[in-house]
Amino acid sequence: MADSVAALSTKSGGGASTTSPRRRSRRYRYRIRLSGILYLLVTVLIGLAAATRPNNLLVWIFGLLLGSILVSGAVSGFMLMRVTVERLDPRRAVVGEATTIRYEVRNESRRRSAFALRIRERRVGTAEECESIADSSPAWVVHVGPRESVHAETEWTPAQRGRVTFTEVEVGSSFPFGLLEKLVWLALPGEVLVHPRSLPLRDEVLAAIQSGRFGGLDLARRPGAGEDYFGVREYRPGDSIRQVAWKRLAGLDQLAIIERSSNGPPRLAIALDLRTPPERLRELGEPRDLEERAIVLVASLARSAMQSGFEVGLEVLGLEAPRLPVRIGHRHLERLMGTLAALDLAQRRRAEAVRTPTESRTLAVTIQPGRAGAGESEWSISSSQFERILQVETPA
Amino acid sequence: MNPLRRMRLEVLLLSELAIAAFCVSQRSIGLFLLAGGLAALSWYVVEGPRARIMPRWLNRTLMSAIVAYSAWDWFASPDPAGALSVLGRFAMWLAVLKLYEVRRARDDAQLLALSAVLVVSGTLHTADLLFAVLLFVYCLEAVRVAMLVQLRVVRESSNVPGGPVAGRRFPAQLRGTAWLTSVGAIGVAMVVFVLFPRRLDPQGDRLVGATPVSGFVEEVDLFSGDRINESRREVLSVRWLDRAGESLEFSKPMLLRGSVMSDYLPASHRWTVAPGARRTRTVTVRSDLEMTPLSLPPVRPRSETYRQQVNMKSIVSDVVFAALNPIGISAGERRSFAFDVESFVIRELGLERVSRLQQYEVQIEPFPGPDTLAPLFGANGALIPPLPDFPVARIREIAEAALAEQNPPNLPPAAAAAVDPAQRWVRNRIISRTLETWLRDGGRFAYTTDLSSFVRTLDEDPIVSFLDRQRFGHCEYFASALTALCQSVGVDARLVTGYIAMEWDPSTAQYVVRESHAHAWVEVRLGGYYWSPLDPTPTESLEAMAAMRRSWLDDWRWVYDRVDLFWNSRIVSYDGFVQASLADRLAQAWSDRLGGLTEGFRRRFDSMTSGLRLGSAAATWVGAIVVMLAAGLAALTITLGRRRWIRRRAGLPRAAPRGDVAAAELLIEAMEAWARAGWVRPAWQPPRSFLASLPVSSVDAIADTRALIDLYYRVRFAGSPAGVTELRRSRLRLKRLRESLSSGPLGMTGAAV
Repeated sequence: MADSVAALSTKSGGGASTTSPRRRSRRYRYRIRLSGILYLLVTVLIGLAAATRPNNLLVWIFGLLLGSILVSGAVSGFMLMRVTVERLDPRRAVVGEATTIRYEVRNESRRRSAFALRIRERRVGTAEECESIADSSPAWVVHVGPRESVHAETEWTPAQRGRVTFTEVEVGSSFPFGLLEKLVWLALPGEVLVHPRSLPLRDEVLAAIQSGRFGGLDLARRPGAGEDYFGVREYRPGDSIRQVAWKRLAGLDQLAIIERSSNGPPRLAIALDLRTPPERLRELGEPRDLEERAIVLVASLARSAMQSGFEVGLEVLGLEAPRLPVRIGHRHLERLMGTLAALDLAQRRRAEAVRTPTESRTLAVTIQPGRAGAGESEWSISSSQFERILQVETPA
Repeated sequence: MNPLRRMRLEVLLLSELAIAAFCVSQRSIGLFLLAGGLAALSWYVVEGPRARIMPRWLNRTLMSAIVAYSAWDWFASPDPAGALSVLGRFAMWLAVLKLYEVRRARDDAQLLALSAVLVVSGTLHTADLLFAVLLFVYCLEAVRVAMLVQLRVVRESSNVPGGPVAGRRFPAQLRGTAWLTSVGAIGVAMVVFVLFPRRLDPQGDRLVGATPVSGFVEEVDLFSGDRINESRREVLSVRWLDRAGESLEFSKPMLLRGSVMSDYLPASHRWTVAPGARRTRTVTVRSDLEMTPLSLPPVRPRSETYRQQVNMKSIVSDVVFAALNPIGISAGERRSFAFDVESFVIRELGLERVSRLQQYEVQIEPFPGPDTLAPLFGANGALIPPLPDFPVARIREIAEAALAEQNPPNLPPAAAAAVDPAQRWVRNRIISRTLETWLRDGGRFAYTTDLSSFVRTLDEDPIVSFLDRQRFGHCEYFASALTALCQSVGVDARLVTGYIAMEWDPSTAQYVVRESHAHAWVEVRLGGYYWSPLDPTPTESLEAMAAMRRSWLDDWRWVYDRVDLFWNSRIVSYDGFVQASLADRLAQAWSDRLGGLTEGFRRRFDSMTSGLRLGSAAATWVGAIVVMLAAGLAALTITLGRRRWIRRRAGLPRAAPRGDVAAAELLIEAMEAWARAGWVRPAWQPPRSFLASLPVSSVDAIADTRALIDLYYRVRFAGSPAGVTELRRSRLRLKRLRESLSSGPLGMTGAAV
C-alpha cells in the first residue's frame, strides 16, 4: 500500500506540489436540481398554455424559458470545459484541528469566464478512507477570468490519524440560473499525513518532568557555560582572564585556560509498545481505541517534553517504523509526529525486545495500550492512564 | 462596484418592473401607484440610514391578511378566467411584503419567482406594446438577477473569512456574460416564436391582443361596460381622392364601416351578425396598384367615384374600413379579401399574407345605381328578404308613440308597402328619418360617454331602459335604439359599427381617425340593394367632445403609434397563416436561389467543356480533376496551417528553415504523445527537466524522447541542420514512442517512489 500511495503521490506532486506532471482525466456530469425540475414543469405548463391559447407573448415566454434552459446548459458546460484545479495544501494535518486546503483554480479558456465554482474532494474509495475527508466543506470561487488563476481555500478537520488519500476533485457550478448543475470530476490524487492529537499534560506530570524525576541534566561533550570541569587548553586571544588556570601556570611556559562543560538537556526515550496483538487487548476495551490512545499519549508526552527542553527519542515496538534518536527541535518533533501518523495498526505485530538506552541519564518511558508492564524501563504508562496523564477536555 | 453589493437594488428594480407590467396588463394605474410605491418605499426602510426590517409578527399578520384578501377576491367572483388575475395580485402583494424582510439568496430567488408569476399572469391578459416593452426589460433584468442569486449563494456558502475569491475584472465579465446569455436566450425565444406550431383555423380563437382594443367592436354588447374608449391613439388615417387625385375634405363626417349587425339577442342584450347570413365572395388583388372590382361581373361605374386611401396606424384587424358602397379594392401587394355581398363588409383573408394589412385603397361610389349594385350582390341579384320583427315588444309601442308624436306626412300605409316595393322604400325612408329626428333633436336624449350612472336591470332591456327611463347614452345606444325602433315597425334597418372620420388635418390633407372616433350608426334599406346611412347620435356632441379631448400630446403620438403598429401587425398578429405564408416564401426564395446557383454552375461548366472542345466523357475527367484539386488545396491549407501553428508554438521566426520547423514538430508531437498518456509538461518546464522528472521505467520511451529533444536543441540552438536521413530516423523514433506510450501503463521507477 505504501508503494502505491507513493506512486500516486509522485504523480500528483506529493499531494502538495504542482510542479510534476499529473494524470489528467476529466469526467463530466449534468445534474438537474430541484429548482430545475420546477422550472421544467413551469415551462411545460406554459408550453401547453401557449399551444392551446392563442397568445403570442406566451409563445415568446415559452421560447425564452426553453432558451434559458439551453443557454444555462451551454454556459455551465463551456465554462467548466477549460477549468483545471490543483491542490496546493496540505502536506500535514492534525486530528481535530482545522486544516486549510488550498486549490489553484485556473481557467485556461481564452474568452470565457467561469463563475460560481464549487470545489470539493470527491469521496472515492473505501468508506474508511472517505470518512476522514467527509467533513471538508467545499471551496468556493466567485469568478475566474479567462487565462487567470485564483486560489480558493476551505477548511477541513480530520477526525482520524493516518494517511488520507485524495483521489478526485469535483468542480461544479450551477451558474447562470441554478437549474442544472454541471460537474467535472478531475483526477487529482494525493495524500495527507494526519498527525495524532497532542494534548497538554496534566500539571503534576509536567512538574514531575521539570523537577528532574524524569531523568536529569547530562554533561555535554562540548565546552560551554556550565559549572563542571571539562578540560584545560592553551590560551587564545579573547579568552577571559578569569578562566586562566593559575595553578597550572607555574609548570608551563604559556597561559592555559580551564574550560567548563555545557549543561546538556534532559533526555527522554519513549518506547511505544505495540507488540501486543489486538486480539489480546480486546478484554480491556476496543483494541484500536486503546492503541490510538497510546499513540496520543506518546505524541502529547513528546510535544510537552520538548517544549520543556527535553531531548526526546522514539522507538516503536511491534511495528515497522524508523527508530528516532534522542534529539530536540521543531524538525525532530515533526519527524516524530510523522512517524506516529504513519503507523499502520493493521500490520501484523512482531516480537522484539526493548532496547535500553545506552547513554546515561536518559529516562526511558514505555507507553503501551494494554496494562503497564514492569521491568523494561523506569516508567511505564498504559492507555488506561490517558485521563490521568493528559488534560482531556470533557464536554460540559 | 461589486455587482453583489448592488444586488438589492437590482432585485428592487426587477420587482418594480414586474409590478408595472402586471398593472399595465390589469390597466390599473392606481394599483401600480400603491404597490409600486410601497415597493419603492422598502428601499428607504430596509436600506436607508435606519435600516429597519419588518417585525416577524407584523410580517405574519400581513401575510395572513393577503391570503385572506386573495381568498375573498377569488370567492367574490369565482371566474376561472380571473383566477390568474387573483394569483397575480396575490404574488404582487407577497413580493411587496418580501421586500421588507431580511433577505438572503434564497429570499431573492423567491422574489424572482414571484415576479415571474406576476409577469406570466399579465401575459395571459394583454399583449400591449407597453406591456411587451416592460416584459422585455424584465427578462433582461431577470437574467442578471438570476446570475447574481447564484453568486450570492456562493458568497453565503463560503466559510472563508473575507468571502470567496473573485478574479480580476469581475464586474465587466459578469456584465458581458449576462448580455451574452440574454442574447442567446432571446435568440432561441425568437426561433421558437417563429417556429412554434399555430393553428390554421381561421374561425379559431382570436389571438390575445389581436382583438382590437381600439374602440371598434364587431359585436355590440349593451349590458357591459360603463365607459367607452376615449383614447387619442391614432388608428388610421384616411384620404379621399377624386378622379384627378386631389384630396377632398367633406362638410360632413365620413363613416367608415367595419361591421354590420342586424340581429338583436334580447337574452344577452347583444347585437350580432345573423348566423348563416354571410354570403361572401373572395377577391384576390394583384400586387400592382390597379383596382380590383368587387362586383361580379365587373361593371363600369356610371356616377362619380372616389378613392379612399387608408393607412393603418395601430389597429390589428382583418377588417377593411371603407365607406358605403365599395366597388373596388387595391392593396399594392397580392392579398385576398372576403367581400360580404349583403353587408358590403370587406375582410382580409389570411391566406397569403406575412403581416397584417397596413395600406389599402378602396374605390367608393357614394350614390350607385342598380346597375352597379346588382353585380355587387351577385349575378342573380336576388332581393334580400325583409328582416324579421324586433323581438322586444315594448320597442314597437315606443316607436308607434314616437311616430304618432312626430306624425310624418305622406307616410304610405303598411299594407301598400307590403305589396309595392316602391312604397316600401318610401315608407322606410320617412319612418327612419322621423325616428332619427325624434332621437337626435328636441333634447329628449343626451349623449355621454360615461354610463356609470346608467342603471341596468336584468328584467329590463337596455334599449327600453335607454328610451324609457335613462335617456342618456353613447352612440351604441342611439344606434341600437334607432335600429330597434325601425325594425319594430317593419323598416329594414341594421346596426353598423366602425369609425367616424371628422378630424381633418390640413397639413397632410387627410383625416386622422383615433380610437375615440369609434362609432355606431344605422343603415336603412331604401332600395332593392341600396342602403342609406343614418346617424342618430348628435354629431355636434361628438365634435365638441373630440375637440375637448384634443391636446399637444397628439402631435407626438405618432412615434409610439408607429412602433405600436409594427408590434401589432408583425408580432401580436403572427398566426398560423402568417407562419405558413412565411414558410412558403422562404422555401420559394431558397429553392430559387439554389436553383439559380445550380443553373449558373451548369452553364459555366458547359461553356468550359465546349470551349475546350471536350466530349461528353470529359465531364467525368473534369469532375475528377476538380475533386483532386480541391483535395490538394485542402491538404495544402492544413499543412501550412499546421506549420504556422508549430512556428508560433515553438517561437520560431517566419523565415525559419524547414529543418527547424520539422525538429520542433517532432518534439511537439512527442510531448503531445506524453500528454495523451497522462503526463503533461507544464509550460514553464524545459523538455529535459520534464524528461528527468518522469517516473517511468520504460527505457525505450525515455531514450526516444531524449533523442528527439537533443535533435531539437541541436538544430535550433547549435546551428546544425538535420539531414533527411536523420529526420526520417527521428520520425521512426516518434512512431515507436507513440506505440510504447499507447500500449499500456508504464512502470514507475523506484527512484521516483
